[in-house]
Amino acid sequence: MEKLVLLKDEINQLLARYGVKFGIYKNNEFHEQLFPFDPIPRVIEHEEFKELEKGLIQRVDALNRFLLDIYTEQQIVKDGVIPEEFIFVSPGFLSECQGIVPPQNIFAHIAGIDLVKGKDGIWYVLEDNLRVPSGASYPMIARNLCRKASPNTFRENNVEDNRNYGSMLRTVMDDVNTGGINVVFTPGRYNAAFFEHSYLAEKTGSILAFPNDLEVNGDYLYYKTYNGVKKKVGAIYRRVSDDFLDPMAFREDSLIGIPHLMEVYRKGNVALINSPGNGIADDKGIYYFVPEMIRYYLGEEPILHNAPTYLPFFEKDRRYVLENFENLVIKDVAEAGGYGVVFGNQLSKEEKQQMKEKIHLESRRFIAQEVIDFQDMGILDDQFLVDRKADLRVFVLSGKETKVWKSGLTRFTRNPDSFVVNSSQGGGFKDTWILSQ
Amino acid sequence: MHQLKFLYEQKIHFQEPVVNHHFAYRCVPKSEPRQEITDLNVKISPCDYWAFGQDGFGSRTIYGTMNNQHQQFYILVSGIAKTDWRIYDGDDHYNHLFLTQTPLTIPGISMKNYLDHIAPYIQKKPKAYGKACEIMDRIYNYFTYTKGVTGIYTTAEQAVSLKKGVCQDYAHVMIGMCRQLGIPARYVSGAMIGEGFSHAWVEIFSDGKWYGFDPTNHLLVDDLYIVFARGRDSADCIINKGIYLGRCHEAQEIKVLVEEIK
Repeated sequence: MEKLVLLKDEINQLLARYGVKFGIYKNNEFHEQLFPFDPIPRVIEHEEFKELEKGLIQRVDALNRFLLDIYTEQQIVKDGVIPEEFIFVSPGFLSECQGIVPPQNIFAHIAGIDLVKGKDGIWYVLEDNLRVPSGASYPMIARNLCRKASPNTFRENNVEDNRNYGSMLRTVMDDVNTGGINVVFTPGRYNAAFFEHSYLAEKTGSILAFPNDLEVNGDYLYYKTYNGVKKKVGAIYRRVSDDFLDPMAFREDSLIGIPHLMEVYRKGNVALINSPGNGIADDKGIYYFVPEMIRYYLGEEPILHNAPTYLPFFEKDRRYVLENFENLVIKDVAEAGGYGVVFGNQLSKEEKQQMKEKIHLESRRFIAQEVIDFQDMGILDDQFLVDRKADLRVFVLSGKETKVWKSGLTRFTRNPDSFVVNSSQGGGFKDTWILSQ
Repeated sequence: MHQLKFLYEQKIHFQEPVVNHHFAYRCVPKSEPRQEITDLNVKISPCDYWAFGQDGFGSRTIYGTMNNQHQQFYILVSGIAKTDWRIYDGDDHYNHLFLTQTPLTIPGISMKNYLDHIAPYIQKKPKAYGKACEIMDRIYNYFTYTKGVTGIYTTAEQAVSLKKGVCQDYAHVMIGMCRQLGIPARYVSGAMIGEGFSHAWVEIFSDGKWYGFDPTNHLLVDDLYIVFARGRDSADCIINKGIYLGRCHEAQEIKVLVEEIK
């Protein structure tokens, strides 16, 4: 590991050369930033990860069951487990997806589950990302470079090999493929995660398709090759958000969508990875109900913990939130990427008052959580070892089977006072080592 | 029981040639217990392809594409519908959804005031069906049917303030009021006997059945109506939608015809 630390700058230079970047939109401008790599890995013990793995599979299986239920029978609402107010007014619920049963009943093929480890040693799930979670390519390529820089490090430590992400993803694509080629569909070069799109296309042996490369004809979707030959597409790993996916079904002004894609998808003639409409399951309000979902659909006790969460929608919770405002973090359910998150104790007096009023008026719009005192991780700031907050995104892949990738993206904040760990907010990342024994 | 001949025809003339034209229509009635569709005939020209599809509410669609340059576009859908209003739909599967207000139906201040004003009369009626009858009476008398003052994005609240509107506005207002009173209500687009335009009305759920109300004409829906699509509001039931590349000046001619076959 010492060798990796010494080679930190070299590895970062190589990452820059390979184009491992993260795009950020700020004030309507697009900037590409390097995603700084810290060479000290997060290490997770074998036994500890086994437990996490079980919990993650359970959680994602329940979320997939929930999505299938919501877009077909809606039994969980009829049985009163989740109030209808949390389903049908959520912007994540897409009526266009009603009645669609995707191949293998899978909606969330790739789930990015964000966890933190508390000082109490317990892992807490912070968020389920089931729409287009990004980030798997960063630990892949960083590991690759570390291995090149110091092959012995990986020979001497029993670290699970993470080079299998491409083949795991490929298996999922093949499992749900309805007959035709696999493509990775990117909105293009100005997307925040374009680097990853091209990298994953290469690693899965798929074609990287841009918006004008794909077109519906009749009941099927085709990829147009440069010489005019059309190839039928059976599975799309799409990295375009639902809103922009099909201008005939969603945003009409989308120039990066595929007209009539939803019709072909409804007919079962192409698999969409991930399915549209998943936003209903990773809504911050629905997060509260995930432990209940696990009991409801699987008849099991949840293995993983949620961060203690309150829904101001419920009178009892609202009272608690208003009384304990200082100790809580308030999240706007409609926002993502670390936006719309406020810490009760960091607001001015007026801001606090305004926020409390908002919570009163639009109780459905917010959730409140206890601030988890999560473990610090050492990172190198110049030559000095400093402590920063870090989270972990684990990737769970669902096809015929649900599998956890034995790696993950550890993101840390570079600001010593910040608890918000998100690449959109300009943090860095670490490799995550899962020990094999 | 009635036998109706129906026809939907649209001609578009683009001022300048357009390309990459994608279209989607919800003007094809589908067979269901209260309407049996036969002799369906579809003509679309020019087009690379067209196909039947379906939307999230089970309404039938026609979608297709014309990529090459063109300046005219034509679609014709015709057929025969055997209708029987005595057969009711009892599907309550989406009732949660049909109780949820949408941006087009949600009451604002003027609609709430109006609803408060007529609430005593509505509350006297025992069942959802009776309440809906009362609401339809009130809306019909309150509104003056006027073309050109409202558009496709006009909300129920705006229509109530204007006291004017067309069938879409009547339907949105009735739906918004029913939902406010806890009655599941859905928007229906289709055609009724005669020649002219497409039409819109309302269905409400009462005692396990969906009942059709036409607040624009102050009528209960009978055999002389043909359903194209259903949804939460007009945005779920858009009859024709098109996108293309080109300058957007276009002239449209739409003809809708429903006649009885004797």
